[in-house]
Amino acid sequence: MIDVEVTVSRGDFRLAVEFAAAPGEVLAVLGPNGAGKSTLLDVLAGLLRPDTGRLAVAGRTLSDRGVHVPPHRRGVGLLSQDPLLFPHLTALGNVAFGPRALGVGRRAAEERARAWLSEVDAADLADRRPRALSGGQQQRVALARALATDPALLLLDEPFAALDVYAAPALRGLVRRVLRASTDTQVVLVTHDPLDALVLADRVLVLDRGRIVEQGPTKTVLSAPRTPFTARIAGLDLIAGVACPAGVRVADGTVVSGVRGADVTEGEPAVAVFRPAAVAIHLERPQGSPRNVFAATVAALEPHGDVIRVRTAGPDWLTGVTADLTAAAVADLGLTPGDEVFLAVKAAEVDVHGVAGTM
Amino acid sequence: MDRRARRESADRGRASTAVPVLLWLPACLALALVVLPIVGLVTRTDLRRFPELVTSPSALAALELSLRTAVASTVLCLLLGGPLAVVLARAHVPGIRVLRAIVLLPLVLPPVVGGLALLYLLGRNGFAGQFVDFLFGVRVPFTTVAVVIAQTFVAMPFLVVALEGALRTAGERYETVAATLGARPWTVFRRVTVPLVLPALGSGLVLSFARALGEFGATITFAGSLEGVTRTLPLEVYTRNETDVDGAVALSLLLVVVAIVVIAVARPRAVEGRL
Repeated sequence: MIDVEVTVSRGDFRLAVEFAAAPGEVLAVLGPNGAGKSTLLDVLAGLLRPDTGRLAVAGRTLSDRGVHVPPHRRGVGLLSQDPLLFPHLTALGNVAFGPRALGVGRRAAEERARAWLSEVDAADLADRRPRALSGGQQQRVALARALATDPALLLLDEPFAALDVYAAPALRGLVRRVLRASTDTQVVLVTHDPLDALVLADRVLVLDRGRIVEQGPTKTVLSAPRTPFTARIAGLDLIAGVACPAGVRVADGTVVSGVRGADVTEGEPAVAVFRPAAVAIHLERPQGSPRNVFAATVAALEPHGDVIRVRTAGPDWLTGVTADLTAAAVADLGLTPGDEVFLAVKAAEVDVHGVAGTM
Repeated sequence: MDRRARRESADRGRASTAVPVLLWLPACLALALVVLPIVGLVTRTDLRRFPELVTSPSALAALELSLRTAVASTVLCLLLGGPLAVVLARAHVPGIRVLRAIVLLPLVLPPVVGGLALLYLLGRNGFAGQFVDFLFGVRVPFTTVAVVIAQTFVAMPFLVVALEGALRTAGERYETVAATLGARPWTVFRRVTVPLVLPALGSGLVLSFARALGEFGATITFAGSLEGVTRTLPLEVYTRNETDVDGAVALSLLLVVVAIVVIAVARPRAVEGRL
């Protein structure tokens, strides 16, 4: 169990968060750069002392008024983007380092290290130096090293971000398997990748400018985002405004029609959320069924998997909305940045959610 | 990532094989400036009398004193300069940049000025000298201890600079990881920090030793030139040159040989341009 309620200031930046996680739960922390993710990790690891508040993991108070447990007595494991294996030790020596530091005898520590290495499918790498390992292998050994101390809290800081497209899914699957096996370890995962959160996390927490702007079960938060940031990393389009009978009314009076969720209250802030693939682009104003048609300008074209993602600009509320088109469609339309176009979205494709406060 | 960067720089080195012709002439002159004096020294040496010259009692006394004091000051550099480098690289205290600059002072100061400064600090009228005299009844200048202090003064920056650079390059991230694994600060220092900077420590020590062995200006000002007490090898060469040029040349050659051995055996990384 994690129980956190802390504030900490670093220069102009201030982090003020309050959250809890159930025993064995994997919590993903999402947020744009500068949102306070690393600051939060530093506080959890004990590298940074909170100004006020308290922090407890598995019933043990780590930070409180007059209490600050130093990193080496916290029982936290840290796995970051860079494996940071000690270059002067073998893979086995790296994994045995934690148990040795905690006072386990050499032989017992090496035995435990071997067990963890085989747990991460790296038993055959035991005698190699980090320099002789690939990035994915290093990260596996680093994972074994972080787990070998049996941490009460495991901190994963963008652990797959530096791996290539083949190594990342393999390691993600491995982390999932290992975390399932050790149910008494509390995990906090910082990531930019919604896939990490979907595969690994039970719950997500979205940070922005030092505050929690959204939290809840992973699938709920990512499929019904309430903030532009969450929508962007979930790969969804989001338009914010005020709830009205048809959907959402934006600042200039335009109405975005959609399907209203149960949590929408008339006149309260609400967001309209839809998939970029549901957005069609027309050169002329389309006639007929789509109720949502907005004039916009093509801002940029970017490859996105096997489609082309078209970023658009328009009035403030519309800027940043994207449309996914096939390469053939983009070629047919002859789209280039700066073109004036019309975006069309069927009302049935738009979900409307209520949000707390203004954004 | 590190390895890739290194390979790229190696590739870049290969791509620039075409050195502009214009640079060859000054480059050769520079090399000649380093090599020719040594050649001159060798040709001037009476090689048949070399063993006899370098084993004269005064030469042996100077050699022994030089080795003893250079080893002692290298140990002092390690015991004092090592921790200083760690503090300079890791401590978060205001004014640390100024301290870093001050540590470099002996490196750029003429050694004779350093010797004078030491003399006025630890001499009969210096405030520290009076203090030591009063407390222990000991006078430091013109003793073997003074030789060690003078050598440490000039040699320590070599170790501090090499070590501090390596510590800052290595960064604190390995140490952070070690701490999260349950290692106490002293364990982190012993099992992570020191092994990471071991190569730099080795080359820093070798450079300090070489600098201490060659020290002349600060020693002669602060410790004088008393045979067997403060007359180290460089001072012996200087003294001998007044009366016995052959002996001075032979001893010089001995110092050259020692220097080449130091470079060949220990290969300080600074010399290879990888500090």
